[in-house]
Amino acid sequence: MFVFLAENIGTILVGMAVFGIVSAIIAKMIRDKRNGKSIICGSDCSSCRSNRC
Amino acid sequence: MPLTMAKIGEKNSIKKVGGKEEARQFLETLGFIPGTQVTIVTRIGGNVIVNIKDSRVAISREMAAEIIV
Amino acid sequence: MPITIALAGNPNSGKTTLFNALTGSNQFVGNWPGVTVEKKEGRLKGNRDVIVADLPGIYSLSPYSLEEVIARNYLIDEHPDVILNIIDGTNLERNLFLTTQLTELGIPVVLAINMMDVVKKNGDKINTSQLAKELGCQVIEISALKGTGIMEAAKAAVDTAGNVKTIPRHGFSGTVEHTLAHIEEAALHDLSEERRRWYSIKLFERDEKIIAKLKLGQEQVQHIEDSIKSCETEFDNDSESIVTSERYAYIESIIKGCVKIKNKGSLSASDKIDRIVTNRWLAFPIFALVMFIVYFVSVTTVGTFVTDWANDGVFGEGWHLTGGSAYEEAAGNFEIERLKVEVYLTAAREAGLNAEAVAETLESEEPDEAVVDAFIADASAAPVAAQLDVTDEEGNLEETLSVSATDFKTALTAEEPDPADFGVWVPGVPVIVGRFLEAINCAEWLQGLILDGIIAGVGAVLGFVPQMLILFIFLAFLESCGYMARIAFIMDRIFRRFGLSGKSFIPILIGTGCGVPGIMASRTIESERDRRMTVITTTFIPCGAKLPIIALISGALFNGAWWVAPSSYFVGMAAIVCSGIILKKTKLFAGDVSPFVMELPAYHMPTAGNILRSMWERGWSFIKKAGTIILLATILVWFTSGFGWADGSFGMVDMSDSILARLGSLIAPLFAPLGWGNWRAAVAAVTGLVAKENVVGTFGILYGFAEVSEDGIEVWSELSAAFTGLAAFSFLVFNLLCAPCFAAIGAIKREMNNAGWFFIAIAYQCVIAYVVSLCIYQLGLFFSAGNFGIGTVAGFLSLAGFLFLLLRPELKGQPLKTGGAFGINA
Repeated sequence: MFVFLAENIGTILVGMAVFGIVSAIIAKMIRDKRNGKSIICGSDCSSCRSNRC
Repeated sequence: MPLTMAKIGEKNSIKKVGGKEEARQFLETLGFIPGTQVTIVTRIGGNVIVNIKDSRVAISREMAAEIIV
Repeated sequence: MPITIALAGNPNSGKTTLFNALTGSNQFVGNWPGVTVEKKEGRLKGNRDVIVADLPGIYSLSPYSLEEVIARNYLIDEHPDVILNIIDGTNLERNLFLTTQLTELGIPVVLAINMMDVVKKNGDKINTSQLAKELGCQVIEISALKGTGIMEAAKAAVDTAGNVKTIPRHGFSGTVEHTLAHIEEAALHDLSEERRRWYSIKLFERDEKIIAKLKLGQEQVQHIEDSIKSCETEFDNDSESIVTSERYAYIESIIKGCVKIKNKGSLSASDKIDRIVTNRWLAFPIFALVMFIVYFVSVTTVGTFVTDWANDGVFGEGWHLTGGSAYEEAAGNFEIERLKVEVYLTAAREAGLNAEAVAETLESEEPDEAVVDAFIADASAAPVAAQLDVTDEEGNLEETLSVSATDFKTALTAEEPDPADFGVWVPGVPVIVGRFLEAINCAEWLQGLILDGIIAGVGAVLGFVPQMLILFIFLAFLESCGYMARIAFIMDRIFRRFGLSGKSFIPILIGTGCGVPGIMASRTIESERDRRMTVITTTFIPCGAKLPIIALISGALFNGAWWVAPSSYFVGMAAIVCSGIILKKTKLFAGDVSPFVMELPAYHMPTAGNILRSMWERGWSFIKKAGTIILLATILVWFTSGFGWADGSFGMVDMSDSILARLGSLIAPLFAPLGWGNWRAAVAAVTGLVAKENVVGTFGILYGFAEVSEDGIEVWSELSAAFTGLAAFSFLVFNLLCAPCFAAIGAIKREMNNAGWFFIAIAYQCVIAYVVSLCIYQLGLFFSAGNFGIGTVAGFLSLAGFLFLLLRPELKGQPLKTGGAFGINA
C-alpha cells in the first residue's frame, strides 16, 4: 500500500486539492442558500453594485 | 391652458392640478401646487421636462395635460 | 448604549454617498430612483457605538409607496435617536418638504445640506444659521462627493441624539390647527406628547395605514371624519392637498429670508444638455449612438485587443512582457523563409522536376541530406527560379522576392524562433500547469480534469474579463452621470404610443448589469399588468453574464465584425419593444397607460474613483462567479463529455461517444431548424440556464480551448469551423432571448407569485427566442443562398404571424390615448 501511495503521491495530492476546492465551493453555496442569498453569485442583491441604475 | 400647450422656457403659474388621485398627490409632493411657478425645459411628443422649485421633473403627456397653468 | 442615526432624504440627494462616507462601506452611487428597498445599516467610522441606518430615498411620508412606508415605519416603530436629514442644496424648497414632516415625528433632527460645492459654484447663497433658527434644528453644510463637512454632520447628529428635542416651528392655518387639536383629543390621548403632532396630521389626511395602526374604533373615525369634512368645505380642497399647500407656503416664506439664488429660472447646463439629448429628432439617434459606442468599444476594439492577450496569451501558449515586437519580427522573417521553401518547391514541380521525394523528406523529423542535395543540384541545373510575393495583413503586396536554388538552401536552415528567447516570456496558464502536473507525475485523467476541464472551461470565461471590465466602466459612467434617467423618459415616448409607460423601462436599464435586480425593480410599477409584462421582458436586454457569449461569437465567429456586439443590444431592445406592443394587444395585458412622473437629477461628471470602484466591484463579482458555480459546471461537463459507455463498459471515451454527447444528440434536432442542430451547441445552450457564462465555458471544454498546439493555431478555431455565420448569429440571438439563468428565473417566479404567470413568462421567452432565431436562420439562408425548404416556409409563416401580432389593431374598448379633461392628443 505504501508503494501505491508513493507512486501516486502527485495524483493524490492534486486530487485532494481539487476535491477540497469543490467541497469548499459547495459548502459556501449551501451557506448562501441558508442565508437567503443567491447561490449563483453569492450576493443578496441589496449590496450588489449592479443593483443601481 | 394645460401645461402641454405652454411655451418652452416661459414661466407659468399653476392654477390647478387634476388627474388620477395617486399621480396628482405625487405631483403635489413634488411641489405642483396652485401658485407655484413652473417652466418647461423641453418637450418631446407631449411628454415634458419642467423646472419646478429648482428641480427637474419629467411628466408624461396625460399628466401634463392635467396641470393647468 | 448604541445610538442610532437614521439617514433620511430625497432620492438623488446624495444620501448613499453620505452613507458610504459615514460608514466606509463599499457601496456606490447610481443617479437613479433605484429600488434597493433593503435597509442598509453600518457603523459610524471612528465611533463603533453609533449605528447609521440608511433609509430609502423618499419625497414625503405618505402611505402610497413602499419606500415611504418602510421609511416611516422605521422611524415611528424603531424610533432612532436622531434623524440626519440630507438635503440637496440645489433644490432646497422641494427637499424641505420632507423636512417639515420629519420634524413632526418627535425625533431630534439635524439637517445636512449637501452639494454645497455646486451651490457655491452657482453663486447661490444659503444662510444656514437663519435656516436653523427658522426650522428649529441644527444645519450643517456638507459636500458628500468632495467629502467636506461629513464628520461635523455626524458629530452634530451624535450630540443631538437623545439630548435635544426638535420642536417643529411650522404651524398650519387656524382652521386646520383647530381640526388637528380636535383629532388629538378624540384619538391620540394615549400617545406621548411629542408623537401626537405627526399622527394628528396623518389622521387629518385620512392616512389609512395610520388609522389601522392606531386601531381606531368606528365611532372615533366618524367623529374625526366630520371635523375633516368641515375643514375641507371651508378650504374647498381635500385635506391632503390642504396640508401639502400649507407646507409649501411655509417653506416659501422661510426660503425668502435664507436663500439667494443667483440665476433663478434660467437654463442650467443640465437643461441645455437635456434640450439636445431629449430633442424629438435627436433623442433616438443619440441613444442608439451611445449604446453602439458602448458595445462596440468594449467588445470589438479596445476589448478585443485585451481579450486576445487573455485568450491567446494568458490561457494559451504564453505572452511577452517585453520583447514582443522583436519576436514578432523574427517570427515574420522565419515565415518568409518557410514560404520561400514552399514557393520554390512549387516552381520546381511546374518546371517538371520531381519534388515529391524532397518534400517528403523535409516533412520528416530528420530530413535525408542526400535527397535534399540531389534536389538542389537538379534545381540549379535547370535552373529553377521562383517568385515570392510578400503580402501584409490586409493582403496588399509589400514586396516581391526572387528565390533561387541558393536561397532555397539558405531558407532550409532557418530555425523557428522560440518566443522564450525574446525578452520576458510568460508561458500561458495551461502550459505552466501542464508542466507542473507532468512533473509530479499526476495521473492522466486528473490532468485531463484540470487542463481540459477546469482550465479550459473557466479559462475560456475568464478570457473575457477584460472586455467585461470595459463594459462595466461604460455602464458605471452612464449610471453616475444621470443619462440613464433620461433614457427612460425618451423611451416613454415610444412606449406610450403602445400603451406602456416609460416606468417599465427602468428595470430594463438595471438589467443591463444583472437581470435579477432588474426583475425586482418592477415592483415600482403600479399597474399589475404592466408589472408582469416588465418582468417577462426585462431579461431580453443583454446582462453582464451574456457578454462573454456576445464577445465570443463576435470575436471567434465573426472575426470581430463591427456590427455584431452592438446588434445584440439592439436585438434585445427590439424584442422588448415588440413584445410590449404584441402583449399590450392581447386581452391578458391590455389596459390603460400609467402616467409617468420622475425627477431627473442634474447631470454631473462622475469621479474616476467612483467609476473604477464600480468596475472593480462588478468585475470581482464576475471572477468569483467564474471560480465557483462555473468551475463546478466545467467539472460536470468535462466528466460527462469524457466518459461514457463503450463496448459495454464505462470509462473514458471519445467525446462523441460520451454521456453528454448522447444526451445532447437527443435534444439537438430541436435546434436543427435554427442552424445549429449539433449536440455541442445544444448542450452549451442548456448549461446557460445555470449561468449564462457557462455557454462559453462549455464551449471551451467541448471545442478544446486551451489546447496548446505546435502550429499555434488560433484558439477557438474548432468552434469557428463548426458554425456558419448565419448559424452563429442565430445561436447568439437564441441565447440572448431565451429563458435567463436560474437566479433570474427564480426572481421571475418570486415576482410573479403565481405558477400560471411564471409559466407564461418562461414559455414566452423561449418561444420568442426560438421563433426569432428560426427566422434569422431560415430567411437568411433563403435570401442569401436561395435555399428553399420546409424550414423556409416555417420561417415565413413565423414572420407573418409575428407581423400580424405586432401590427393588428388595438383591442376595442381599450383607450390607448387618454386626453384628460381637454381631450388633448399632443
